[in-house]
Amino acid sequence: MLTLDRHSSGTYDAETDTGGSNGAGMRYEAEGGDPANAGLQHARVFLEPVKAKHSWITYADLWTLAGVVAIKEMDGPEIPWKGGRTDYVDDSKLPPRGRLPDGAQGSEHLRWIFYRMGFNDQEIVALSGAHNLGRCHSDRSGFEGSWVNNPTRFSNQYFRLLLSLQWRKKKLPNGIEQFVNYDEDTETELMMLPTDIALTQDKSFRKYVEIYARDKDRFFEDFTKVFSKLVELGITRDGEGKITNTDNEKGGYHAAPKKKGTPGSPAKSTDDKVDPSEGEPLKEENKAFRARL
Amino acid sequence: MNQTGDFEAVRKDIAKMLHQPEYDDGSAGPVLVRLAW
Repeated sequence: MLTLDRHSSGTYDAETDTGGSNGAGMRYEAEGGDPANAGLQHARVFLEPVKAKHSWITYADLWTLAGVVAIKEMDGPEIPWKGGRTDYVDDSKLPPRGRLPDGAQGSEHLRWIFYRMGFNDQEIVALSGAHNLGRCHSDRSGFEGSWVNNPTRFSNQYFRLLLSLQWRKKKLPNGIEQFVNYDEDTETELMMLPTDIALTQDKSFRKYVEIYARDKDRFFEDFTKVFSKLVELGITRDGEGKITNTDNEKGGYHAAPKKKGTPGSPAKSTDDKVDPSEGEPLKEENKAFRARL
Repeated sequence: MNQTGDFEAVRKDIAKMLHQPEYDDGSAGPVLVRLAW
């Protein structure tokens, strides 16, 4: 499975009302062992100094707020965000595993995953615009490289490159296939996942790829809406914005105690058929940097 | 002790830690966006 690293809001299931960002701090222990989530170990460690300083905040709030702040700081739109998520939810709200998108698949899979969360085709394409940021690592997701030249600046470049460059299939040494474009002049190779290419091949998806490629403001507007919807999945609020999920009524706003300041999978997951576990390699990798505030 | 519910202060501290020269492309930003997913 070439699942991409999402585990908080993106685990939501509209039909059964399970998953979502509420309770992320607790669920993390069960999901931390998933190698697809390896990069999240780094993200978590980066935020530990913030949690140490503001111990009252729940991880569910901290992790969603960090995403919103990061987008803004990387020249992206200002996404409305409200707090109040709790770290502890009823066990019945925990999502089963396997709810994460698989980048090796096509448009049918994208719809299956995202319709389940309550998103439509336009929102699927807008959310995919997050691929303007960051990169893949072959030892984590299996894919390698970044989608755009400047992966720390939020823009609509991903959509423009999807349409303007020639993408050819490339088999990586690990046997995984992705799409690449190599620029002779700059000697740089950019990548696209099979799911990214699928957006250009499916008529309904492509319509929005074209709109976002030519209209950055429209993309920012739609991304703002869809990202704020994402971090509110599974959350219900009253007129004053107070969360009224049963978990919150029962438990209120409860922050999980601070987690350790080092990466590594907190719990050996039982259903991972992956060897070796991510804990050790990540520990090594993390010696190269430290979380700072 | 920081004031309970002061999300503005948290925002500021998150923004301050985004610069991570040793990490991917020098920034914690992209991986934090993934964490919110």
